[in-house]
Amino acid sequence: MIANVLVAVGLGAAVSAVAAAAGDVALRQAREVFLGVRGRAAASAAVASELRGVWLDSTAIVGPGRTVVIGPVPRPRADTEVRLDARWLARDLWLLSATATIQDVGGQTRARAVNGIIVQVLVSPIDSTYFTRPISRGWVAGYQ
Amino acid sequence: MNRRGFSLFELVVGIVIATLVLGLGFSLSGRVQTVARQRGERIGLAANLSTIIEVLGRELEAAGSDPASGADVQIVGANSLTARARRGLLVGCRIVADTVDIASDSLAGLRMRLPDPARDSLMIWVPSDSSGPEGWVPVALLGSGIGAACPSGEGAVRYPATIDSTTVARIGPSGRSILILFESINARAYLGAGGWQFGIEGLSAGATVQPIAGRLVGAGGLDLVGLDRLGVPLAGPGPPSAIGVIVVAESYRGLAVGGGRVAPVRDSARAILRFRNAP
Repeated sequence: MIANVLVAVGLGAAVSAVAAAAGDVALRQAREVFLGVRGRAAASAAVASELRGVWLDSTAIVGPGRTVVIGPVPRPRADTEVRLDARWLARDLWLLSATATIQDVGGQTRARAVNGIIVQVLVSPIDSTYFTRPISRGWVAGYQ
Repeated sequence: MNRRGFSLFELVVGIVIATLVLGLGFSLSGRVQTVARQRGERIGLAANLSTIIEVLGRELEAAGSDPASGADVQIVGANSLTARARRGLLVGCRIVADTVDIASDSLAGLRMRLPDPARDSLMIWVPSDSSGPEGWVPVALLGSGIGAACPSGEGAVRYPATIDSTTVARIGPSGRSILILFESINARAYLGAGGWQFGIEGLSAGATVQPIAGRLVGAGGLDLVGLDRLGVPLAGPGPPSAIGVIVVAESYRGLAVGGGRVAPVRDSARAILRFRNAP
């Protein structure tokens, strides 16, 4: 009987250990997914907020074949850095992309997301200012 | 009276009590084993369900629709859909009637790969003009690429393709436009050796279905519904803005209890997969 009780206790402990390990893995995965989603959201928000930024004037100066480095934007959170740039693609089409990096307190990268949108840079016939128009199927994820 | 040892009655009572205790112990350990296996099966099953949803979501994420090429996603049955799965964004630096030159390092920072003509195709963006609205024109690649150079001096890879004169004219004299690299796929439930599975098959010649996860509970274990912007199922054949997915799957092993078999563990997951470039 004692042997059986010991076997049962042993198996119970093994089950608890497996469940705890699985729970730990699930928790870590969930945290990674959450950080990934946060990174993508930060990148998307940065791109959406710069559709009418002052960088548009620079596109006329640097012209085709160049990249306009818009630089870091205000941090949405202390651990999240977002950098923006606009890359000329063709004609009057540019890829406005944001790279969001989430770091831990030690400065190690925990998650990184790249999100961009293809925009057409146009000149207003009224006041000659530049503005953008997202073209169809414009969103581009980072392929990495 | 000098008695040594046990009487027959005492022995029988002792054996009965020991049998009861042993039986109780075995029953307890059997239940613990069953719970352990059931938990393991459930964890594996949950991982399979999330894999199906995640893979399908990634393949459809960048889908869209426009007047020139129509919808990227077509539901071809309750458990099957075809899609143009985006594989990258490229720059065509010289697009003429019989070839397209792809600037090979124009988007290196985004780690775009070059096309594999055996399975990939392109969509070329054309601006709106008097001949039609802006949109993406699908173009098949006819062979492997060779080294070339863009008119601007950038490195390029030249692919043979047949591009109609209207598209070439709409791109304009610069011959430069942006390209979506895509692979036509069929994501579906299929009956494999281990039962019904979820798999993805390239629609190019010679492609075979790649198993992703299973085991589905029959063909109906994968249920796909086209949804409009508000999440309402589409009544007609219009382009979907999202896909509703319900997956019902079961574990591979049944559980042995008391010499009999019980049904495998069964679980389900559901999700709405919205397209990044939804019409």
